[in-house]
Amino acid sequence: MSELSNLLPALPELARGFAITIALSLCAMVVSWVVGAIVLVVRLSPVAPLRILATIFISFMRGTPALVQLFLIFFTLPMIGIKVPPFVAASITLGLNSSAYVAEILRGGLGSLHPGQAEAAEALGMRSWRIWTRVLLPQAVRVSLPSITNELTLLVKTTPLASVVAVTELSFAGQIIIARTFQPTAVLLSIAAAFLVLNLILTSLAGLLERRFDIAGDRR
Amino acid sequence: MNFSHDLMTYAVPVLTKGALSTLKLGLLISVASLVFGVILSFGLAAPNRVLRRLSRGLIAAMRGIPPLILILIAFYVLPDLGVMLSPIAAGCGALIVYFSAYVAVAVRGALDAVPAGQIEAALSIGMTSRARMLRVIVPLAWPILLPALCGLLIGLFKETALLSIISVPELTFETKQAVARTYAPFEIYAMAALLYWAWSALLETLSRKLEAIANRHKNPGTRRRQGASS
Amino acid sequence: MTIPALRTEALRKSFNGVEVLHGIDLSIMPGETVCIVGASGSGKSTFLRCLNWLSPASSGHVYLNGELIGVRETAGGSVVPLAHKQLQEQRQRIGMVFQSFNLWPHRTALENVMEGPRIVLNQPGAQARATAERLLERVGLAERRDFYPAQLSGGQQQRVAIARALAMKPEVILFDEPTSALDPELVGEVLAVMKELASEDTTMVVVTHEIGFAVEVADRLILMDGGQIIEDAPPRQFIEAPREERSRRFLDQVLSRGLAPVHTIHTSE
Repeated sequence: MSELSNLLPALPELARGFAITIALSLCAMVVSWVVGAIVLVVRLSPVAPLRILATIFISFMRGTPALVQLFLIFFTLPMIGIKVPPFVAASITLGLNSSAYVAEILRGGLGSLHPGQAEAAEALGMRSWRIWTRVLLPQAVRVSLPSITNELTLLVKTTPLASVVAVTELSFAGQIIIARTFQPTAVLLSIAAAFLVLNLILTSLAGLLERRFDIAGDRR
Repeated sequence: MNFSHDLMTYAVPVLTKGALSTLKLGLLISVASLVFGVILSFGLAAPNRVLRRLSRGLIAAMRGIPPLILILIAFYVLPDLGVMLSPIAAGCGALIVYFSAYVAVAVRGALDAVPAGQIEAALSIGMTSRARMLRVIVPLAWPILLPALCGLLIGLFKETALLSIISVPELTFETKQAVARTYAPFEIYAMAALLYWAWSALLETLSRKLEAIANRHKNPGTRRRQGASS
Repeated sequence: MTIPALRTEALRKSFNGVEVLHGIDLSIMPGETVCIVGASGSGKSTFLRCLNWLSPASSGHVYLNGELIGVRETAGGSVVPLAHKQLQEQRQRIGMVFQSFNLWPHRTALENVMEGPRIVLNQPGAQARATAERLLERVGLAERRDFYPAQLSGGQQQRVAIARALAMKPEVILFDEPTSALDPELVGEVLAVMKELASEDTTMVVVTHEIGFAVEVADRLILMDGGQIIEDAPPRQFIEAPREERSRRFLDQVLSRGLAPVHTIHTSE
């Protein structure tokens, strides 16, 4: 118990760390969804070199550790004259990493759609980007919602990696407190609990969303 | 960018050593996670309610807590409880528990995906539960399980990079050391990334081959002796 | 007096407190073919699944050639579930053919038929193979023995499934709507095999919608409705002079759709 009372002064620090974790997750999520959708479209484009490029991107992002990607981006961007703050570097890296998975998940979702969907849109004379934004992507997202949620929780779980480039998100804030108070047990268990709660909230929100989208009778 | 001769003669042996260590740790964690994951998957369907709840709770925790935090807990918190572990033991232990949960979910999902009619057919000819498991359920669950399992194993090898944070001398750790000595971060991190990438690609290819074998009966062209239509 | 091949006594079945079978008494004599008809939801498939204890009855008894199925009576007179091993031995003696065939997709036609004799009856491979080949020939599929289920038409799959059931030399065979999942043009070949079995005095209980088949092949035609047996009569009598009003209504509905003819199979295929 004495441990816990010693930690009270550290609570604001942990709270700030948690806020940064959430901000980082949100930024990375936006990057991953936007880039993921673009990569998907490029991956399916009729232009072969583009397609190959997207395939290589997906393979690299899925084939190497996010930690190594983070080091690669964080340490090499300054060498070519691009200076980015750690938070931005982390958002971009974690977002890019996740975007490869998002692209593949959406591709799977698209694959399960009936080809008639695109044909019907074409028959109406829709332009191709409209077919994507109004017909194909919304349906692909709906079909693959459970996988996208799962990917989002995985993304949240990669945010502690940002601690290695000194973003004071929750786990780094915790490590600073541990170094000062040397009370790892209470700090680390609180952090674990915070992540657990965050992800549980996320999955239950997604569950609500899924139920709203699940129109009776057309589940595949 | 400068892949000079000096840099290479220094970095290549160091990274090779790290890569071999990553390979060993990854294999160890894979095998242990498969074993514990299968055991845990039985826990999920155990007749005992307490056991079922415990398994479900453990899995929910593992899906919600970042693996890095688990590694830190194993390394910093367990000594508080009187369990002293080396960084390797703590780190591997944490990743094994983490991946066992995912393996258990995949195994359970695949077993549950076997159509009820298949099991009823086995029941109706009086198969024992052992024969049902070995002759019907496992062969049918296997092709469903395989892609999920391969994905997990590829992810697992990448996740061993986290062990560098508690100074386990694997590929990422050796890479950081090499960067600190040479200050050629791009070249060295790129080499490390390529090593991970090559290994993932190899596993991916292997998993495709295995999947093709597991799904032979769905597309058994070679065994046809004549056209399928009557 | 002959013992019935299959007999039920006050058989009741409830799902979540809702009773769907209200005490069914039925005796089927050796060599008899009994067809059970009725609207969907009448409880006929549930009844069939109680007969081999795939779906254990909530109360009442099932006897296979005089032997209690699925449960045993203790010395004190109470009824307890049978051990798995004994239930498995009883199920070996009751064949079942399913609506959706349920062939094992990872085994060829021949392997599907061999599986029971090899794995359950522990017959030597050569013997099981010979039996399976003979049975596939009998259902007209000798040529298809090395095909996987995915390569066979629905009708062919169901004929393999019948051979699989026959391979166990069962005392009774249960058919659970064996043609309901088939395209109309494939129904005939399955019914033809069943007709042949019936003519060889196989004891069969067939839940079916094929009233024409039932009239032609059955020794007794049973109408179920609302979890009860409404009518149990020889087919001619059932059709020409049903005792119950509900049977008459059922016949009116069914006969207005016409009777499907039973084809014969071409074993040369």
